Order: sequence, then structure tokens, then C-alpha cells
Amino acid sequence: MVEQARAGDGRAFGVLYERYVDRVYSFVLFRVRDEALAEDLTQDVFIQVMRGLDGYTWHGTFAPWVLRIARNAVIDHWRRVARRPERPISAVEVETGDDAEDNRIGRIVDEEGEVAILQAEAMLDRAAFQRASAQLTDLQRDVLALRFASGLSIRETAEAMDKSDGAIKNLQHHAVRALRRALGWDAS
Amino acid sequence: MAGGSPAAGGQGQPPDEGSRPERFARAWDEVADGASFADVVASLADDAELAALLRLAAAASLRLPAAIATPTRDRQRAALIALCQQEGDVAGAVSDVASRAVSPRAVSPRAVSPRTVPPRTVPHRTVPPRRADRERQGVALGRWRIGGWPSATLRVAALRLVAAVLAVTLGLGSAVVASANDVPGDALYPVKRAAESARVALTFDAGRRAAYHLELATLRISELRALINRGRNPSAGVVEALIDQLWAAEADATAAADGLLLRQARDARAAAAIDLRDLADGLPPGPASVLVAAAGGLSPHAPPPETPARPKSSEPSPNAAHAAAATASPSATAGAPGSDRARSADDHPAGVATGTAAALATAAAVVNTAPTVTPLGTPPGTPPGAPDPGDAPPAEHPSQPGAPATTAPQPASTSAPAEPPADAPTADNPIRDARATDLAKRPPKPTRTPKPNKGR
Repeated sequence: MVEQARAGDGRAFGVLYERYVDRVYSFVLFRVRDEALAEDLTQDVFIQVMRGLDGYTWHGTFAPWVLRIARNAVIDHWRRVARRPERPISAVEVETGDDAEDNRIGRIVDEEGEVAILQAEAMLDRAAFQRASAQLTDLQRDVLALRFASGLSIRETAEAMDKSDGAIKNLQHHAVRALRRALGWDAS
Repeated sequence: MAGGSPAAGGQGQPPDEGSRPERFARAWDEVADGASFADVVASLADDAELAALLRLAAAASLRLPAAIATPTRDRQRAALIALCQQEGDVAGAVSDVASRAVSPRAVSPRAVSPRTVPPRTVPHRTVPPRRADRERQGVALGRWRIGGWPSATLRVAALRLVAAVLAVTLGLGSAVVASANDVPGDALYPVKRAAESARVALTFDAGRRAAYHLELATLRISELRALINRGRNPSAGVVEALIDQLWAAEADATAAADGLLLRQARDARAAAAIDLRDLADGLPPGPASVLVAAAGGLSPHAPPPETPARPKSSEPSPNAAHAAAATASPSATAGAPGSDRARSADDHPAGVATGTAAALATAAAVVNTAPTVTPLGTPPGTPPGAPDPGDAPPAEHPSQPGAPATTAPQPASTSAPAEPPADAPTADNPIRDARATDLAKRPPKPTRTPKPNKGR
């Protein structure tokens, strides 16, 4: 299919798009937190994918390569924004979360089982989650997004981020811990 | 960057956690592979923190994945498919030109010199697909052409094409790259126009699109000037595109609710009218009248009064037309506005058309409407906008201005404030705001693709 898409077969590329668009979009959305922007960036990513197909050499999975492009697109985006700061997102602004509420969530989550997870998901309210994730490093956010939003394996994540498997495992562990701390879930 | 504080415990921390990261990764993979979450958590009973992290990971993995909105997805897929095919065609066109250009040289050496180097072939590309690679490709292509192509013009044109493609790729997208020296009749002019319309179709922010339309309008003026300087007649296709782009800019600026842009767009329209009259100076009466008539249609106070009768010539039309051109999709959505335009052009070649329209209609026939203008993002061989007769009911004859606005596709972005659909004004709609009126001034134009009698 990659071969077909490479040869300019639009339909094949359409299938590739369908297969990967949600992974890319999830990743980008988590990283830019703006749906319209995420849509535009997603499209940019696929244009780059299309233009990069020529040089793509197949080694098993396509996802890491696509997500690597997505990651670079996000990095480029933030670079552009940094050069022309119009949307300051300060950590300070982000830290004024509602700790009491977060703690309450933390207690609910301490119950066992799937039900608790579903509750947690429901209670992991978007704003708190975003505030918390804004306190992570970019690498941590990347790894969370690739693993939990795009569903890449450790191996694939390592490939997408140009790191070793071990580094990804460490990074992932730190990222989830940092997230937990930022959410205040460790205070129960 | 995004406000992330590197102090928040990155991977730089010493791995004093022993095998915790490893355990966590393994546990999560088990969950991801479908193991019972409770079981996996239970297996971490000796490490409460890991269990808690796992729960959080589960919550995050339920929270994080997002699906792109279906309309966006459909639109993007269509645009990408079109672009994919288009680029395939561009590549084909380039190698086609190349092979034609190379062959004479492949013959000549035998006659001229016994010790010629065989012409170089295109280096096979196996390197990773980064930007740098594309740039390298450009250079390689250029060198190869220096060796293989007899014509410096072709080489320059090809390099410019590479630059244009790059510009689109990198989103620099300045029309400056696509030089005004490419004019209708040049080998790569259709490519340039195709790249433009692709970019229009892929720009979902109405404001950015408006700005780009303005850029393109400026470029069109330069092209007309270049044509005239070369002693050729101004191409009606370019004039038409100019008008299209000016109105599209206003429509998009309106859609973006950007007053400044809108003013710029109106100024640009007025300026274009002046430019066109300037260009008409000294031309033979025929071509001059084309420009003057077009200028008349652009001047702020000379809207052709009959034209509001085109119910759908408002807002959606320019975008839709561009999108249609870019996606070259013969689908109903894309086909509708194009065929609408076609119809209005050939339904009433003399009757409705006021100055501009008439002049343009004649111009289309008289002046060198380079057929090169036609493709505009259309893969060769695909009849542009190939309408099935079905999706273009003859309901929109100006005598029935209130005809139900057919699908009037709205390719504008989700990111742009959605246009009120009420904006496809019926002529008897009393509440027609300034903008609708303004847009309705849009004169009817002959189709870009002189392809009359479609389905009728």
C-alpha cells in the first residue's frame, strides 16, 4: 500500500490516511491543545508523509515514521510560536489548579478495578488534565501522547522519538509519575 | 516551548527506580494487549505507586485518544488524495519533459564526438524523507539537468518548480517563489496554478486564505504585465483568475471577520482595476477591451446590477471553485459550483452579461485562453469538474433567482467561523446585508474551463 501511495495512487494514500489519521490527530491535539490547529497540523503531517514516501524504507511498521513526522510538526509549530509569541502559555497560569477537586478525584481513583478506571476517566476532567500535562516536559508529553493517545508500543515509540527502548520506559515512568504529581493524585 | 518545565522530573533523573520503569512498561503492555486490568493491578500489589500509575495511565489512555471530526477527515482525505495524484502527475510531467529534452542530446553525441559521457540518469532516492533530502533532490535534479538538458530555460523552470513544490511543502508558500515569469503557454504554468489551488484548498483558515488570494491576485497582475511585455495578448484565463482571487479574498476576509483584511481586499480590488486600465493602455482595442471591461467589473461602484441573480455566486462559490479545482474531484460537491458557473456563462452569453461578463466571454473565445489554464489542479485526463448532469439542475437560471441553492459546498474550514448557510442569498431575501450585496456584485464569468454544453 505504501508502494502504491508512493506511486501516486491517491486511493492508496487515502487508506493510509484513514489508518493513521486518528493516531496523528490524537498526538497533535494533545500537544497543541487546539482542535482547529491540530486539524491543520494533521493535514500538514500527511502532506509531509506523502512527500516523504519516496524516501521511506519499509521496516515493519509505518506508525513510528508517521508519528515522528507528527512530532516534528509539533516541534516546528512551537518553534514558530516561540519566534512570534502570541499565545503565551505560562506554567504559572497553569499551576493555579483546583487542588481540592483533584484530591477528591484521587481518592475515587484509589478504589480497585475497571469501574474505578472508568470513573477516573470521567473524573479526569479535561481542564485539570491539561493543566497537569502542561507541567510536564515536552519529552514527557511526547511519550504520553505516543503511548496513550496514539497507542504506539514501546518499540514504536522509541523509533518515533529516536531513543532506546530503555530510555522510553524510563521516560514513560517519569512522565506518568510527574502527571500524577501534577494532578495531585499522589496526595491521598 | 509549551511551558513545560524541564525540572519536572525528566529522563535525566538517575535510574534509581530499579526495574520500576521496566515493570510499569510491562504491566501497561499487558493491559494494552487485553489482559484484565484488575489482574494486572493485582500483580502490582507489592508496589502501590506502580498500581496507581497504572490506573492513571489507563485513565489517560481513555481520555487522550481523539478522533478527528468526520467532515474534516473527509475533506482532508479528498484533498490529500487529489494532491497525491496531482503530484504523481507533476512528477510524470517533469520526467516527460525531461525525456523529451534529453533525447536529442542522446542522439547528437554519436554524430559529434566519439568520447561523450553517457547522459546522467536521475539519482535513485533512498535517503530518508527529510526536508534536507528534498532540497538535495532539487540540487541533484538541477545538476542532472545541467548535464542533460539543452535548454537553460527548461532547467530554470524545473528548478523553479522544485522551489514552488518546496514552498508548498514547507508552508512558506509565498507566491513570490512562483515567479511571474511563468505565464500561460509556458510548460510549467499549469503546474504553478495547480500548486496554488492546492494550497488554497489546503488552507482552512479563512484569514490566511484571504491573504493568499491577495498574494495570488498580485501575481496574476504581474503575469498579465509579463504577457504584454512579451508582446502577447493578455490571457482571459489570467484575468478571470485575477477576478476570482480578488473576490475570493473578500469572501474569505468576510468569513474570517477580519475588518483589516477586508479593507485590504477591497483596496486590492480597486488597485487591480487601476492596474488593468494601465495595462490596457497601448494595447490593440480587442485585448484592451478585455482588460478595461474587467477593470470595470472590479471598480468599487460598478457592480453589474444583474449579477445578483446568480444565487450562488456569493460566498461559497469562490472557495468552492478553488477547492473544486484543487481537488479536481468530480464529486457532486465540487462539481456543482463549477458547473453552475459554466451554465451561467453559456446560458446567457449576451443577455445577462454586462460589460465584464460579455467581454470576458468573448475574450475567452478570442484571446489566447491558453488551454493550459484549464487544468488548474486537474489531473490531465480528468475532465475538469466533470459534472454529472444530475447534480446541476438547470434551476439556477437567472430568471429564477430564488432557485434553491443546491449543495453550495462549504469547503471553508472548521477553524474559520462557519458561515451562516443563510448566506446563499435568495434574490428575494430582504435581509441582505452589506456583505451579501457586496459579494453579489461578483460578475458572472465564463468558465475557466471552456467546456460548454455539459449535460444539457
